[in-house]
Amino acid sequence: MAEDGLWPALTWADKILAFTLAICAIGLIAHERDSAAVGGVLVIEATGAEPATRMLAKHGLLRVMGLLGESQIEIGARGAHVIAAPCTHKICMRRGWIRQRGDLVVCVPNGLVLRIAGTAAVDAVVR
Amino acid sequence: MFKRPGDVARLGLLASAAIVLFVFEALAPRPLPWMKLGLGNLPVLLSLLSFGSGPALAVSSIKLVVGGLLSGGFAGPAFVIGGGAGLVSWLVMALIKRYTGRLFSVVGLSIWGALAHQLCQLLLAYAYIGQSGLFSLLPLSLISALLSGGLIGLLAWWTLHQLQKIGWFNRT
Repeated sequence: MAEDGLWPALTWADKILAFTLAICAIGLIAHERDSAAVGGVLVIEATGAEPATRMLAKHGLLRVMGLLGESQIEIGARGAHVIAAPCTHKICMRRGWIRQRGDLVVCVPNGLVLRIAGTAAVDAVVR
Repeated sequence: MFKRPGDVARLGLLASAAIVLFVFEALAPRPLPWMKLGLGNLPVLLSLLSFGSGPALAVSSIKLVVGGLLSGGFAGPAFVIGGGAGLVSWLVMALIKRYTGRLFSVVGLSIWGALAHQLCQLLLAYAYIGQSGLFSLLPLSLISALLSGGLIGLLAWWTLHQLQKIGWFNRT
């Protein structure tokens, strides 16, 4: 079944598949990077509730009710991150800070999506 | 389905390996929270190539149920999403193996399985929480499918090579 040698005989179809996947991924990432910038608004989408927004410039602690219970989100100088969650694996907490437009934190068990949108407020104008 | 007396034992070994790898990977730290190599899929792929689609489905189901029970996530949303994606991955690999002949190698088959797993996972997560923002993860999912599918495919090829050396495919 397996052939001799250190490398399996990749077929043309394998190479086309891998190449297509790589091109699609690079294209999507390039498209996102083009529109990436420091965001100004945190969009909070919890299952069963209307999406809510919060300015990233307004630092503080948010408490959001999800499917399992309360998640706590800290907004600070580095953006937003989840500091407490009722889910088992805490993947949303390990995601860390999000700040760029399009950055995302997803907590599937608690039905919560945090997304950065908008543009950052201008701190100062220098001439 | 089973042509040799030792095939049931061989399949049992693959199912045990799938459970051990699945639980080990659930406990091991990950470089990125959503990145997972999918080591538990290696025995599923080996079963598909050695015994066919039915036994591979058995190994995949045993891995999902026992692995889910041991890692504490059984019947939770992550289990449903991961389990559904695992079954779709098996289905895609089985169909491609059956209908495309030798068009794809082990590596290509594995990449197809990983791609089906990633896309199905995104769709099931979207169905569960209903937030379209999830689709921002699509580029990462494609990269993850390419890397994890490719690596698992290479590991499967190497493992089959070693199994052939020790007579795994001999008629005994």
